[in-house]
Amino acid sequence: MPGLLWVKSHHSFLHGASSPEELVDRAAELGWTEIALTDRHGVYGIVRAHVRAKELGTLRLVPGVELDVVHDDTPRILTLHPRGREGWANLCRLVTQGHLRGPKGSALVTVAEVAAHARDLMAATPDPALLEALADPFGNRLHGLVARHRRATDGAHETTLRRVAAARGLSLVASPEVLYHHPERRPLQDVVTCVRVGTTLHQAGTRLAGNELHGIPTPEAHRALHADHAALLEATEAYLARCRFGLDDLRYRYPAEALPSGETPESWLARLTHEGARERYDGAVPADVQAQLERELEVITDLEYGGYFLTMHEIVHHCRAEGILCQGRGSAANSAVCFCLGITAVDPVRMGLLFERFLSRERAEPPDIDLDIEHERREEVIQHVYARYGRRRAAMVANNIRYRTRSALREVGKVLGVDRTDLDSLARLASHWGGGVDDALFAQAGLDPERPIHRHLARLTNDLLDAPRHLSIHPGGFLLGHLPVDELVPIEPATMEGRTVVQWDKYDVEALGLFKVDLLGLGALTCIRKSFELLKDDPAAPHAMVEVPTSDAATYSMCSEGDTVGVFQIESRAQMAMLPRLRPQVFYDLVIQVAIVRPGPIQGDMVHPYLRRRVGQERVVYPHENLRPILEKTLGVPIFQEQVMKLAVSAGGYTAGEADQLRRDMAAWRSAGKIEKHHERLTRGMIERGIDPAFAERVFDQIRGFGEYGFPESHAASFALLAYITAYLRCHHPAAFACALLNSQPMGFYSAATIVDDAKRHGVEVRPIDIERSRWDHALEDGAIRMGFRIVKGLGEKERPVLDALPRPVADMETLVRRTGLGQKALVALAESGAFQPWGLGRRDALWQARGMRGVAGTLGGTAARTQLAFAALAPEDAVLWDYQVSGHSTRGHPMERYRAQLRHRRHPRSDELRRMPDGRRTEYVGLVITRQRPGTATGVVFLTLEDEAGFVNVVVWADVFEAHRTVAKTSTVLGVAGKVQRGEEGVVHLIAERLWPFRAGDLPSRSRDFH
Amino acid sequence: MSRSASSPERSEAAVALPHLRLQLLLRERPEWRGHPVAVVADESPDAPLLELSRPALLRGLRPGLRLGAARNIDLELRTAAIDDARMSAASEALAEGLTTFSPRVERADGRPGPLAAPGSYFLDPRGLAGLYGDQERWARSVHGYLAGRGFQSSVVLGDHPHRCLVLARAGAGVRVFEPDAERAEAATLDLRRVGLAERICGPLARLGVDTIGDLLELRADELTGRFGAEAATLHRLLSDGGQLPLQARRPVEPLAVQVTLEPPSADRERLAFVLKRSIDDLLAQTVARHRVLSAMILEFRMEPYGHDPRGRVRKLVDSERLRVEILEPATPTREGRAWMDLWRLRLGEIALPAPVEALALRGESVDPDQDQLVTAALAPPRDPRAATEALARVAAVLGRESVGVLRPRDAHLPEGSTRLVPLEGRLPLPAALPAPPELVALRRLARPRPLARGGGSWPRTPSPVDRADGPHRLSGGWWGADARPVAREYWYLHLRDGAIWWVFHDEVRSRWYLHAEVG
Repeated sequence: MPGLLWVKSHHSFLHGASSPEELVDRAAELGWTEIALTDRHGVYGIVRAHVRAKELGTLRLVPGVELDVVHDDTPRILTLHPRGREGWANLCRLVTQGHLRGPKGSALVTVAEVAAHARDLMAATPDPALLEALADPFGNRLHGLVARHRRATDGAHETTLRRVAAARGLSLVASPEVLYHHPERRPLQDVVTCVRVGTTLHQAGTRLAGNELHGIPTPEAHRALHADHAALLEATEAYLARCRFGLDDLRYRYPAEALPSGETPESWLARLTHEGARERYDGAVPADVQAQLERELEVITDLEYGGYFLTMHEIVHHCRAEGILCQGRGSAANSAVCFCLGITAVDPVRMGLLFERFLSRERAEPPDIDLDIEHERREEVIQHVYARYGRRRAAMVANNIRYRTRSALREVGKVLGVDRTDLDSLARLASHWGGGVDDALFAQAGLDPERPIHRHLARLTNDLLDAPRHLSIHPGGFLLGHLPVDELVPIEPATMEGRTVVQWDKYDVEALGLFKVDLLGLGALTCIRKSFELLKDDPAAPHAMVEVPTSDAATYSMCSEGDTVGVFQIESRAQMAMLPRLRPQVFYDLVIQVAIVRPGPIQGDMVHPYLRRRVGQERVVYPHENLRPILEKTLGVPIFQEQVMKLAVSAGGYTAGEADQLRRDMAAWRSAGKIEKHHERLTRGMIERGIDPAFAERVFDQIRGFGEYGFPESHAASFALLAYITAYLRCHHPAAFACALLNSQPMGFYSAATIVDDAKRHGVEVRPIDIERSRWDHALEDGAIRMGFRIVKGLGEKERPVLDALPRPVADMETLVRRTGLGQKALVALAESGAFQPWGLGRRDALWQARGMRGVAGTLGGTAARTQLAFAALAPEDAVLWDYQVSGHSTRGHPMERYRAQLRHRRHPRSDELRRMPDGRRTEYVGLVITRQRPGTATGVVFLTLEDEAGFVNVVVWADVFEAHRTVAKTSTVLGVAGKVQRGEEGVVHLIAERLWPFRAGDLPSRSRDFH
Repeated sequence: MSRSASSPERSEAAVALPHLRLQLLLRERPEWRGHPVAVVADESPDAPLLELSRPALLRGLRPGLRLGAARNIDLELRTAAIDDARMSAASEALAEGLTTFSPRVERADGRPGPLAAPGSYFLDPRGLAGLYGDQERWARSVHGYLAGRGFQSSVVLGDHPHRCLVLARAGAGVRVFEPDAERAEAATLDLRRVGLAERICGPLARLGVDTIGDLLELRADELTGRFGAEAATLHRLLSDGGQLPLQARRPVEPLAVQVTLEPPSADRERLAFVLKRSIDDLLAQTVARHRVLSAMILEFRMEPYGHDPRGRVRKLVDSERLRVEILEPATPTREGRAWMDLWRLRLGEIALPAPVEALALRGESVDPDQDQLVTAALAPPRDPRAATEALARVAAVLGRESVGVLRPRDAHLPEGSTRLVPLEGRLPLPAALPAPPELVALRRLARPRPLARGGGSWPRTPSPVDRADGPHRLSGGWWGADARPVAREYWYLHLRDGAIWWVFHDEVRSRWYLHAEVG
């Protein structure tokens, strides 16, 4: 029986309209036994097709590719299919070569290049000229490809192809050019064609296919179509029979690290591990730790993963040598070996973490270690990896950027010719994170969902969701190989200079059992390192993470008050509201704190039961006694991802493998559809085992919520460690911490202004920008923070070196310009920031002077203005306003102070006064909006954080109130809120809004960080 | 407003129509008054809001905000585009109207500079007190005229044109100023209220220079280097002695010739003779302006009494007494003979119910096309100019739409693959004729003709089907507004009588159609 030779998935970016899985499923459903996936210019979709075909077991997946080959100055189509491993390597190298030539996203190869890589490859082309040109290099491995789609030109074209094939003694094969799995997907293929060529459906003309015959036909229809030349089908069958390569034939070895003489990877790993253990435990390694290490090393040896751990160790060692902070995260924190090698920072034995969650013989998956690195120095580490392994043995893993609701709406709408303003409204209203398009969205935008164009828009947008748009780079994932990577998978240049990327993403790499090293940037590590640097002259302060005292009561007390601006992972509005309720006292409490304020536990309605049990308001009960060991740590409430998986096994009757699939489905992007298939099985299994149905449903709700936000316990522990360290620094060294945090921006939850104001409220003196004292970075000065030039808008990296090197004192502007060569824009920015006040120059006077600096040949030189006028000094409140406009913060006061007298007159309280009000008191508060949030789990409720000179007020705006005051809520910089004080038992205070009004605040720029 | 009982005549006047775009829009859409309204340059989501109604401002919208963002904030916002071309046309029309009140009118946006903005005008008010009683009454007449046309405006009389201008922009109603009062009042004006761009106002405001008075306290020569030439120009324009002479508009006389026939005549030859001389006069005017005529409009004014078809005398109604004919040649031309030829043809076609007592000939002109050469590299020899003129004669007789050119279009459906467009300009002839190919004539029907069903698989044909080639399938068009997709299978049917029919089966309509015959 013949197979299909020429099939493109939606990984042929904007050519195909169906996923590899859909194509494989459909082919199998129709009775095909062989199908070749030939995506354009690459093998982007081949792994997914391979995995799906293996799952089905009834269909053989033949890897292939479609390339543009330049002949007679014209690109012509060629499909290639490897016969064996050598053919695959040649195909990968050829595709790599093609990508190096063309613009990003396309590959062009020459006939000569194809010929040079022809060995062990089968080839088929519908182009008669190319058939002629490649006949010699390929010989009888080359075939003419007949594709009949009932086009008017088919007959003449086929006649020419036959003539050329006959003249060169070549055979013909038959296959449709498949662009989608089912004719109902044809409209989407028309749409993506229009997107690709940049036109609309009305104007596309013949750029669209002429009919719907590019789906997968039934074998019977295919035979009938070629009934006049049955030999074609036999030849096709013979062609595919010669293509025996499958992705399972890829044998992958991890690159061998340089080893000392006489050592194997396993022996060297064991030695390093034991050395590290002695260091970790001060020479006295506990017996249980020793036993755990032996067990882990045995598994690592059996699975031959030693080299991977050595590579991670080498990278961490390099970071340590260069003074770059790093820490492993994720499931690697379950490993004692990783802990002793210094890759992770959490002791898994002490925490009772499960090694098998990270590595197990049963799963036989390669380890996956994510290494968080200071975000400002991550690039150094990446370049180290490239330098150590070489560009051909190290390439970054891809990231498929996929259509989400907004992007799909815009593209489809443009192609359909939807009114631009209507489209803009729909796109803005659509959920940023997905959810598709439905009638409710149209209604919200004031549009009729029944209009044909809107029906098309909804249907096609939903069809386009998840389809890949283009290839990007995974933030830090590296694929390393002992052989050149381009013999394993094609490599192409990334947009970012100096980067190359393989054509597979992290899911593909995992599916094939390849090793990936993830190097991720984390702002908190930068902040911590900078804090240590600032404290280097303080002998009482810690200078490394291991020196931070554990179990500091003051730190936990501060966290329990919700006083956590700048603290990693627990600084958000929601975290601050939770902390006084959970009141962490020990490290594990922080682990739970980090994990509990997440969609998983929230949607599973696990948060309140846990809190009530924690304070003794509710008895700790278990849904089933078998579940006690799983849930004991969290008082009978599942909070971590592993607990859910264990529940699936113990209570739901899943096997370990099925539970792992559940974990994968929870972690997959757009996991909603994948998770739902577990619902009936899992809940039924739990109920059958005596679990309360309501609890079973809540567990499944939690699984839904876990989606992309599932937190394994080890991951939460790694993050909790950083949370504790940043909290400790904030508590005991607030000036250094705030200074380091400001120098690490952008990062975190709050603006620089909020960080400065928070530091001031905690007794830290913050000194303004000063031309005689400031440097580029913020710095400590006699225990105070001296703000740096980096925060001034209008100054950038160009000005950094000259300002850092500026000899002091400067004394006047002419000297400044002479020494630095600063341009007028920079001078104006400095003048407006008040940097020249030490010279006795008010800002306006300085501005006049800065604008008047004359120069020679277009540059500013040293000649001052002929006249220096005296301008009115800024009022103090205006100085604060200017500070915000120019540098996003002020050391001179808070913007709300200027209105305080007026607000007092109208009986509007300050935030500290509101926080002391009793529960139920009605009041009207006015404050500066600093955050707006509308979490997906909150059913339309909007959370605002307002700030004044005395602190924050958390405002809850129910959906109906928000809609009634929509414009004001979305646009006001300073907002008035009339509402009722709600005081929780733990002292957490909210203002429940009943009415909002705008408060005129002049030219105050918005500093609100808006989320969703 | 300040004036004395017998004030000397003021020498300058300025008229300002605030937010002219918005005013134009609300005149067109009076039902939008009272609602949040914004004028935009175009309706794309990225277009900035230009002018807003008060309800829109009260809802927190501001000029400069993107339209897409504005719609997201205020779902009830109504918007329309008033682009620069429309603004200019409206400004020009207003200027034209203001010439009723003064022979010297200048648009403020006619001269580039910091005060240039549409909707403001300089007028010369001198010598008009005698017509209106006094200058203030004159100013009120101007104000009333604009109000009568639905515009809000401000009219200011003074002695310094640019100060009058800024006072008009910042105020309302009618005001008259003596020099000192004018100076003092202008000095208090906020720079942002007088229509200055933010790029000038913003940096000045940073120094606390908020008003015109603040600005004039600075030295003009210190402004250029700090704030640019515009700021210095502004200083100069608003200073004493910064007046510039009015550059009044010049009215453009139309191209026209008028002739009275004495005695009136319906005789075609006489009319042609008169017309010829008129055409020559008109062409002379055109040549003098270095223009070319693109159209002629001929008005016949007939006597009050004429004859009906039976020859009886009857009185003509007013509308019958005036007949207007318009002629456009294939290309604009100054050739009298070509024009006359066309008019002769037209005169031969029209019926005149009464003798003509006067005729008026007007012309529309364009800049001449410099390309007067015609490529003559044709084989066999052809005269494209003669062809063009011949087609122009056809159009003159039968109407412009009678001559068209077939242009290709990128489409799958045969009937969509070409379109007929009216002929513009010269006939588009190829440089050389192709060698005659082996032609097979295909007579394609403009509209496919439905066919009745035949006995077997095929439609009814004049003779039996010997052979069928196909099918060729076309489907698509699912995106059409009426959501009627296309699904056709095309066949070539070789008939026994030698004819070849190109037919298709329309699956949507379940019907056969004939699309072409071959042979």
